[in-house]
Amino acid sequence: MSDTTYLSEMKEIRVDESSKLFDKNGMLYKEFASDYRQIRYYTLLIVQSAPLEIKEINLLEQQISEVIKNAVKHGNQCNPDKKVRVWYSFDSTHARLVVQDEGDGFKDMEKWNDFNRKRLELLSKHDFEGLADYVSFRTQKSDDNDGGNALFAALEYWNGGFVFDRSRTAVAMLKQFPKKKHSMN
Amino acid sequence: MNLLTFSQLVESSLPARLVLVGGLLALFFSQKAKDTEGHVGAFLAALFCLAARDVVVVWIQVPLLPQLAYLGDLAYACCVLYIVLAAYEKKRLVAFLFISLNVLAAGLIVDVNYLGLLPFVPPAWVFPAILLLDGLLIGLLGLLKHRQRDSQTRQLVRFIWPLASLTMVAYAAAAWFLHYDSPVLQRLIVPVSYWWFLAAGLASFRMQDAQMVQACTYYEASIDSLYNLFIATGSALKGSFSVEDVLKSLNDILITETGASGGLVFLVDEFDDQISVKAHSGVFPPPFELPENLPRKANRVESHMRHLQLSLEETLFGEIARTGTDLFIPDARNDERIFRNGDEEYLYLASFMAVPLMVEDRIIGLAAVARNQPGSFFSESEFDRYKLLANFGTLALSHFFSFLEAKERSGLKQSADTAAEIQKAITPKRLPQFPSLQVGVYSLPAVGVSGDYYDVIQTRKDRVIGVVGDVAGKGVAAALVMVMIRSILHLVTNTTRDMATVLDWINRGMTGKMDIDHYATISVMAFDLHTGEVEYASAGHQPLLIYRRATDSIETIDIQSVPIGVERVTEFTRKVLKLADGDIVALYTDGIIEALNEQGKQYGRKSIASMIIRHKELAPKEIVAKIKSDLASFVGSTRQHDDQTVLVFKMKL
Repeated sequence: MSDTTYLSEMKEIRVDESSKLFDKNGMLYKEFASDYRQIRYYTLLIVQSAPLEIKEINLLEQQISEVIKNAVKHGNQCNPDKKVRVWYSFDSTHARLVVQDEGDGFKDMEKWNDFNRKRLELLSKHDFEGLADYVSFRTQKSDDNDGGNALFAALEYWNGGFVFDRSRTAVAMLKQFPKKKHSMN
Repeated sequence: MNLLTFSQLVESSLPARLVLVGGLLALFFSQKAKDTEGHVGAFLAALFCLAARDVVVVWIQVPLLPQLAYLGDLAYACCVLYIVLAAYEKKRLVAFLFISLNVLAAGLIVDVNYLGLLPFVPPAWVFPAILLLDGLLIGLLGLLKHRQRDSQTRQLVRFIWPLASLTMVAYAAAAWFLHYDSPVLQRLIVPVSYWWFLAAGLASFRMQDAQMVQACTYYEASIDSLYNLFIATGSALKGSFSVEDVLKSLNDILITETGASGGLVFLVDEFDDQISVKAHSGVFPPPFELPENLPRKANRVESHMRHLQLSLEETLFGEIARTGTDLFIPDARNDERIFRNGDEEYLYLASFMAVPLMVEDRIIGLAAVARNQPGSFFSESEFDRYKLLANFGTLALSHFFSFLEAKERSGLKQSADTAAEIQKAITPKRLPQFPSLQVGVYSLPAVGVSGDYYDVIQTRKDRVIGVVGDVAGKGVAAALVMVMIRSILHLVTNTTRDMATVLDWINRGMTGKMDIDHYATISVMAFDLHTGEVEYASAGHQPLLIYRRATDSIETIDIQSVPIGVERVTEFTRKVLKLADGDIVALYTDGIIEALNEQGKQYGRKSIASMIIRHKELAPKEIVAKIKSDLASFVGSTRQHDDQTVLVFKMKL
């Protein structure tokens, strides 16, 4: 029996320079040195602007931490002279970020998409044996600290979009928080 | 055609008869407003026919008096037939036939007297005979009439039919035998024949009264039910703030007040488009087809119902939540909308009703009750009561949700207020001033953040420590980190060791010991009040700005290091600087330089620098006041997201 739900909503990472997610108007801005040790601190500095009404603030923090980690580590190769620039805006219904690094860009995007497609196909066929080879995306530069699946989660989490610019050094993302049905407003 | 003269009119029976009819008309007019079934209109029409007949018969004396009078009588008889028969849908055909007969007779009269189209003239007795027939028919139908009394009109008809019939028959017979101009007929029998209207009017009044009493009793009982409902949901609130408890008491009261065997309350899920059972009490046989693999055992079925989760497309429950319409199925065994799972007691659904729970036009859930005793059906009035209770229950529920929301909001606010209070408590009330060192500060906490900390501590006669810090995060957790940093700082600043060591102590005191994030950037400066020598160390904080009077320029001193709390072993470095008379130093937090204006531009370090240069002759207090107003005009009405602090020192050697 084939289950097509995974395929029907197949997600992939795209390049979309003109996406309105890159519009930095009115966003808060911070820049950081590429210091791997300080990623949690950077994340906290950013997420402290988010209103407390966002219920899943820990999940948000985790996802922001992942994209900053990508920029610091895979983008800037932890070179402290290279900066990570972050634009961000929050309110009770959304979280939007643009994260820019000074690296060579996400070269393996196509490979990642192929990998993800294959993975989803196996999932839809319930081929769990074949799936074992597609648990974690690895490149030659991956090390033991790379789980290889942060982007799968990111694609799921950033429900308003997760797109790169043409140089693939900047990524913009949007999370929309649904309005509560029982809310009295 | 001759009209009566005035004196003839006064002597005639007409005024008395019209007064009588007028009184009867008034009696029925007064009931018209409360008449929901329309029978009052028929009575009024009948009375108008009578009035018209009387005027014709008495006042307009015409040669053809009897025939014209019969015309009026036939119309009147039609009205009475209508009153008696219209209440029963199945008798409408009979009524129609007889009314047609009357109309035919009326046609005959007109023909005989004015048209002469027909080749024959019917004998005069035909007309009173038809009237007599009408009266007998009313009596006969009344005798045959079933015991239906389910509407006000039918009750009234049951009461008046013998009177109406008798009166008609008597009048028709008298008209037949006495002739129309007989004074006995005109002055005695006709007025007496009106009396049944009086009886009908009074009976109708009595019935309206009874109906009102019944309604009052119903509403009294409803108010009692509502009272119970509010008591129950109210006491659930006293016990806890749990939605489940409130829904359970709502469900229980709905079951009790409707005499149901079981009840369910669903809520629409907060974020997804599905409904789930939040309260389940008693026995609620499933109205939909149970999954095949579910064992048919009472406890398994009950558990299935108790934990039911449905999309808005599934079962009649989903449909109610989707469409917001009520569902009343008194005889659930014989209704195709209800699936029959079996005859066991826990599967036997005898009667069913469900209502959406709506706040204005938003559907927040639904409630349903069931009976499982064979033959036990919910009645229409129980359904009405159920709807009423569910509406009020939803109201109570919606107030409860508002309350929870307000409570949550006030909780967030309280936490923010506490943090702000801690922050306020540990920042110096007023800064000390020294002959050789002037100090000024501007610090503005942002709502709900509370991360900036500054201090000026004199440790010796000739030594003053200035501190500016910025704790990452917000709320009480950030305020506690701030308290700890301040405590350590106040304990260790009175040392001969350098400022880098002070930062190291703070860092070791903070790092890796607590379960909360505790990052902070901090800058410390130690001033020698005699020599102007300054020692400066920083843990990841914004660069120091120094205005040099000798060169009239700003120098930026940046020490790269990680903030407090990142690593337990961190090498902090320090710089020793020499300040001359008139030199100014400024420590500040990122909230100042990252302050946004309406165009999304940041205030920037350069703005602070140029403000210092521009106001270099002023005292630090005035310089910070200038920065404050410059910043305020820069940001305009844009909301600020972070605390803003700038601490300025000026050397006076």
